[in-house]
Amino acid sequence: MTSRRTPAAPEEPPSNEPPPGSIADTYREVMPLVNFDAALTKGDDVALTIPSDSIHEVIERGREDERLQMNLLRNQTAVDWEERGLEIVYHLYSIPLRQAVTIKSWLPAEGAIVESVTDIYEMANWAERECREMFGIEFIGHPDPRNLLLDEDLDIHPLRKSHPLAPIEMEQGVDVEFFTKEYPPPEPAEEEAPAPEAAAAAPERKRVEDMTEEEREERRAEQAERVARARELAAVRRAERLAGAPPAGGPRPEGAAPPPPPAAAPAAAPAAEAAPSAAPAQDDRPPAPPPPELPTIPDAEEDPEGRAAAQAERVRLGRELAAARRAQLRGD
Amino acid sequence: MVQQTFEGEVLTEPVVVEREFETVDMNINIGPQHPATHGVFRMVLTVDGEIVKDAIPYIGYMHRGGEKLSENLDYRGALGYQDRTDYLAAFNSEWVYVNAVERLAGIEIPERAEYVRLILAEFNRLLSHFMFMGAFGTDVGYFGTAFTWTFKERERIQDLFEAVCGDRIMYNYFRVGGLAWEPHETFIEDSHWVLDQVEVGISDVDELMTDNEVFVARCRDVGAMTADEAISYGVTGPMLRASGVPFDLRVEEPYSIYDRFHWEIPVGERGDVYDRYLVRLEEMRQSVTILRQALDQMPTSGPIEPERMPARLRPAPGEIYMRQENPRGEYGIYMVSDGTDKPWRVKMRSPCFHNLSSLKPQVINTYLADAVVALGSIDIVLCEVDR
Repeated sequence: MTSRRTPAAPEEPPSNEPPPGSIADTYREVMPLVNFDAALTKGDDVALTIPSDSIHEVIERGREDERLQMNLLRNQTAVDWEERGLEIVYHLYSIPLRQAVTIKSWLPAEGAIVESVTDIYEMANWAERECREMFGIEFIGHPDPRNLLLDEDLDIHPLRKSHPLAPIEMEQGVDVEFFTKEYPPPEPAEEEAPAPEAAAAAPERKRVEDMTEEEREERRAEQAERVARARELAAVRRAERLAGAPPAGGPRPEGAAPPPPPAAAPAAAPAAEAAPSAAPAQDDRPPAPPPPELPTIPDAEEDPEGRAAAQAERVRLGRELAAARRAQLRGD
Repeated sequence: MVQQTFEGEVLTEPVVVEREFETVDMNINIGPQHPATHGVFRMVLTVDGEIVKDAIPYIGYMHRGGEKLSENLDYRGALGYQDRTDYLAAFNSEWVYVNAVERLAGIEIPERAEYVRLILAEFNRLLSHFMFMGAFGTDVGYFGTAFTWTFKERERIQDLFEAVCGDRIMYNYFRVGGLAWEPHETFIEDSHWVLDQVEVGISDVDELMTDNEVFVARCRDVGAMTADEAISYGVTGPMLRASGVPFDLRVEEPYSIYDRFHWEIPVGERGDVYDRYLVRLEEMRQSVTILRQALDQMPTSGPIEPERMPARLRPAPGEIYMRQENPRGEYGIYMVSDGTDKPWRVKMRSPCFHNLSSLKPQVINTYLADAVVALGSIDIVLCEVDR
């Protein structure tokens, strides 16, 4: 999924000017040297847009000044406007004076740098960490600029509009293949093998209530046959599991061949419709490094040393495989 | 120095050998899967003996990218996601979202729908606080009793919700413009009946916990925060009120029809865990007061949706920061529209997120056992913290 649309190219239509005597005028009086662009939001809050180099000063003075007393930073976030840049937003509130204001500022889309306000509000610590990882805004003077919600090693900015939902994580080694794999369209030969029956039955499909007694009998027989076939197949699978052909329940290594078809599978082939379990199109996966041959682990009572050695060997092979995959992903 | 005893013996000063013992700080990892963390939350505590010296919280285990998902859905489609943030107060979260969309699109909603929303949201506050009492009681040491007693009441409220909307946790009942469908016929009578039961339940909890010596000993002066400290950390809700700040958005910036009712804001004095408990307990009683008034005033018939609603919502470009008082504090939706049918930006301001960030100063230089109590008193919902 890529960015779904570009924002409206023209500037936002000018919102309502805040009424005279609003908090915008107070800010202008307190800080006459700063350029405040005032607007009224849909929630009747005053939004002040300021140059990005005066954010720290405006917020600090706003907290200390007697007429403003903005002591609660209630929310801090950013908005990605693609080519127009990033907009950083602070929602402030004054508990003693009961007044709210929104401070906004424009930042360049690449290399956005803002002075941190963690020295004014402790709350900004986590909010800025979140903002940094989600949008890639660097906060100068932040005491602890680690990832907060994302994994520690990830260097991605998911709330940017340019960030698609999965592939970048994949490049960095997160296994999202499960979510992103695009299965080829089902092959008609495979999928529609039982189609003649279904196609023949489909136009004549009736509701059970409308069927005659004979048709109901027929339907019941058909269902019973299908159940019998499914049970047969299940019995075959169970026998196969008990024989221990594939590791029971264990995860199959990536790209490994599917389990050999059961001996009675040809007889039960139509029943695959009733119990579809094999993943479609195993061969179409992207080429993965060949899976190492994992040693089988002997039973603990029979051969304890051999068991420990085999386990260590499996761990080593697993690490090697992981390293190889990582190298392959990086190298590509 | 020489000492002489009565018998005339001369004793020399006892030799004191001073040896330095090196103490090593130890790191203790709690979580992410731990019953005391109320969800998937991890903290690494550095302890010296039993005193906590440092605490590093780790969150994000439940991060599902809800904001990004909401930006890829249309205005109505992302509503169901709100149930999945704060699942203990789903009606409240839904309410903030639909209010934000309605204010952004300029939709007026009928009075009756407003009353039903308010009643359900206040019931949900009761439900959430009952859940807190049970879980917190377990943290402090009432294994079982508090949990079963409060869950009995919670169950009654959930039965009412089930009758209204067919679901017990993920309601998805509010709609942009009104409600999904009419509440059932006996909604008002049922609500009164539930309130009668719940009032007894609140008294039960009160009698069980408030004056219990062990409970008070575990909670008094634990995790205390001053008002300035709490405000600086962005703490809101009962935790902030326990620190002595009467900050309740229902009164501070009245939304919906809260200005039609009379009730009081409970405020604590010391800002410790015990005050947080007391504030929540009193808040439940005040919620009952609000509910009684709302049920009496509620019109018995009338529309629950506006007459005309656009098939596709395309609010004019603009922004809104809608905030309301959830059981855990200020829940906000910052929504930016660019004129299309999908929001350009949705930011959820989670109260738990910021309340949890204040954990570190609360637990430093306290006992390890108190850290668990302080964490429990925050009443976190990790789904909401991580969004």
